[in-house]
Amino acid sequence: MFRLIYEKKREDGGVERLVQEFPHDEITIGRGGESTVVIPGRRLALVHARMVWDGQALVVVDAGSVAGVRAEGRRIARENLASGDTIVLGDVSIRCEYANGSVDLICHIDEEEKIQVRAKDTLAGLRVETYLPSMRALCLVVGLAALIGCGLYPFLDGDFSAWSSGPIANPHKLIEADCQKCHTSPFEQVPDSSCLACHSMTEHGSSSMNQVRVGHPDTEKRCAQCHMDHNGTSGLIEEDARQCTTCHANLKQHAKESTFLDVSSFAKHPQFHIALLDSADRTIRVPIDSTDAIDPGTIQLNHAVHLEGFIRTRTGEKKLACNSCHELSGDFKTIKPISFDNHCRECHSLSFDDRDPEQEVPHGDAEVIFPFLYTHYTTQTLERENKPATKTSTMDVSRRIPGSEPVALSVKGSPQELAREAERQLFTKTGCALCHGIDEKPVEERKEDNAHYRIKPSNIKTVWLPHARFSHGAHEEYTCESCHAGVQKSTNSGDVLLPKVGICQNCHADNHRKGFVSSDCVTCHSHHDQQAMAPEKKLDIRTYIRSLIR
Amino acid sequence: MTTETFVSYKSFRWLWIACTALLVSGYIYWLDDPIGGRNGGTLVGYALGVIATIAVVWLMAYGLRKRSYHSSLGTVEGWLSAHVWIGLGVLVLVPLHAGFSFGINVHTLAYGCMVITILSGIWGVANYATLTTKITSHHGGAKESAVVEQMHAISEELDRLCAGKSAEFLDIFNAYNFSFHPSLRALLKRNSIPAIDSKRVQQQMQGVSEQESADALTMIGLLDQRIDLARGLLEQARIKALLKVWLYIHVPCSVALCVTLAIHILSVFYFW
Repeated sequence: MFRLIYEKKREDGGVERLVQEFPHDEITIGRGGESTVVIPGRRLALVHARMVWDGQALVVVDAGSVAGVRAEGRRIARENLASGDTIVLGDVSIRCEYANGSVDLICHIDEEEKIQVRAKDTLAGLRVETYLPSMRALCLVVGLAALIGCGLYPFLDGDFSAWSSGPIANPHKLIEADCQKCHTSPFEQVPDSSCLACHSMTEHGSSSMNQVRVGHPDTEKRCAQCHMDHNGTSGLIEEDARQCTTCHANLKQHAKESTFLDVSSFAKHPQFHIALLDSADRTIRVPIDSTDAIDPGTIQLNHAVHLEGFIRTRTGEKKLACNSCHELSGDFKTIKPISFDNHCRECHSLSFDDRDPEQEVPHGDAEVIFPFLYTHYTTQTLERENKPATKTSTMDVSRRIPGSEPVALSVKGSPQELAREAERQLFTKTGCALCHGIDEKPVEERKEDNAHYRIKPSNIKTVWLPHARFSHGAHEEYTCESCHAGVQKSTNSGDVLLPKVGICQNCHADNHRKGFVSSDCVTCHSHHDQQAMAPEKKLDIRTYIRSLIR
Repeated sequence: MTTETFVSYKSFRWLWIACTALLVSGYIYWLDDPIGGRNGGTLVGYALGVIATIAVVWLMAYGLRKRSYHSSLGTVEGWLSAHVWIGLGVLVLVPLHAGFSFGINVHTLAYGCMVITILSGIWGVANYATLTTKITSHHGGAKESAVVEQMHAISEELDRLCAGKSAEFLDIFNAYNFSFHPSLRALLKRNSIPAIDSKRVQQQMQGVSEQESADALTMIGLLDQRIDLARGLLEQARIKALLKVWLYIHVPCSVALCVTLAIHILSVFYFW
């Protein structure tokens, strides 16, 4: 039997003895509950040592502890103990006394204060918290730094660039630092007035947008809903065809009265419709492949004749090409208007007097031709009266057009009569009549000194498709005939030689189809009708820039 | 049979929930093709943003739940499992919300804080998965303080043994004595206290006189014991440090995430 006598020093200096009996011949000593004798020593293992008492001898065995079992300063693994021997188990010393078949284990715990203090410092060094700030302080600092740096600083500094949701469009870079230019009120979406403060030239907010809204009764969109900024540095015009095809793919569902054809994609784009005037001078839209699509121009022009071979000109023979007459404009987008002086005169002389073939009537105003002719013949008459008479009168000389046989003048007489005859020839047979439609004035409008003929308006159309854009410069690499098919064989001025939609669809498609040039609605069409900005609305650039500097 | 952990809680219940939510979100994202491109300002963008915000609030609520010992709102293990798997899911959900557009701004900063928080969380989970089993296997369950005290006791005993000894005796002592002053660096890397080289010690023992040889053997035994204790202590401390140090990134970054997320939402609607 073992008896544990636990001596514990009290704070008042006295000793408190606790006695516990264990009716076993073999016990284990340790800090853990699995030991028979539990002693609260700090350096004791859970099961530190084993003791065996056979009634005669007492044996102690180290149970594999860290601190070990020591007797007389030696570390022992197994030892017979005599009565009165003291063993040390870590910080617990046990004096063993036995007699009369029982063993008294008188134990006390060595406080070892010096070691405890040193151990406390070492233990602190083994904890990571010793080297790091407190978690609460760290969270507080990080949270406050984020709040001040990201949340409050922009209000103090006035620079909200850190709040920007993405790169601003390049045209808006000038006002990038001034968010209030667009975002006039916090927590409110960008109003149209912000856009119109600068972009009033296109009348987005008034006539144009109203037109859009008349045609699109369901449209209640703000400018910024289509023109979304902070989505990259490119422009603000959204090219996605679905902006239009959402309604235009099935327009009758959205606008029953609409006469427009459905368009779901460029591949299903209806035939181009040219804008013509009807008999009541109203603009009508005629499909380009319809028999009603007739060029309203009155100039008689035979493309086939002009392009089929060499043309005789004042400077020799020439082979004409399309761009001999149709020149690209300076912006590389449109075609310059045809000019008689630049494109026709080299071949088509307006001379009227074979005796003076270099002399030509001016082009452009029918009313000035007769005065010009009268002046010409009057001058000749005066010159003739001042010279000796010759055998052949100038009045007998026939006038001819370049390349033709001389035509005999039907009259001889005064400058007035000669001028009238030359006028008649020009307006009915030669110069003007060759290309222009001519009307003879009624008798009551004729006077002695005015023109007796009137040239019909030429009606040369410069814009066939007023709601579409096209850049000839972007297609400069291709021959004109690639798109304007049939020009070589066209003998009728009424032929409309514009390309049909199928020609464009060979190369262009929407929705980024592989192998096609990506072309959405806005590639050719504009949502708003562009207008020139009124001078009174324009800004002074220096004043404007000063207004941006805070 | 493997033991269920917070990662595999209820047969990976939260992994499946997180994966399903992500697949649904990804499918909706893939179906959605708004005019102007995908971004946080579209209908789907707003919806995913709201879901991500709710998820972040939920993840943060774990910090409160684990301290609410009397709460009956699910088990802490379940909450931790959800915290791990939903946290990983948010890492992908937020880019879907933003349409994968990032920049140098407070919005991306919020996501950056989230990424750091989640990566540190992954580090923490990995530490728990690999280190927690090792923490109880040293010193046969001895208390850390007891081991330290034992080390100091050995040191004192060594000091007593070395008193008045010859230079040869002290050479052996000095060769394997070390100053045990742990540092943060020592805690975060594997310990480098050299073990006793038995061949070298045998050579050194030849120089020790016969009178001192018994004490020398005792000293070598104590030195070996001290090295073993120090190594064990450092390894234990390293494991404990690794189980804590990730929190010093995870928790402050999650606070920064909350603040920047709030500023993100504020800024978006302030400049609507």
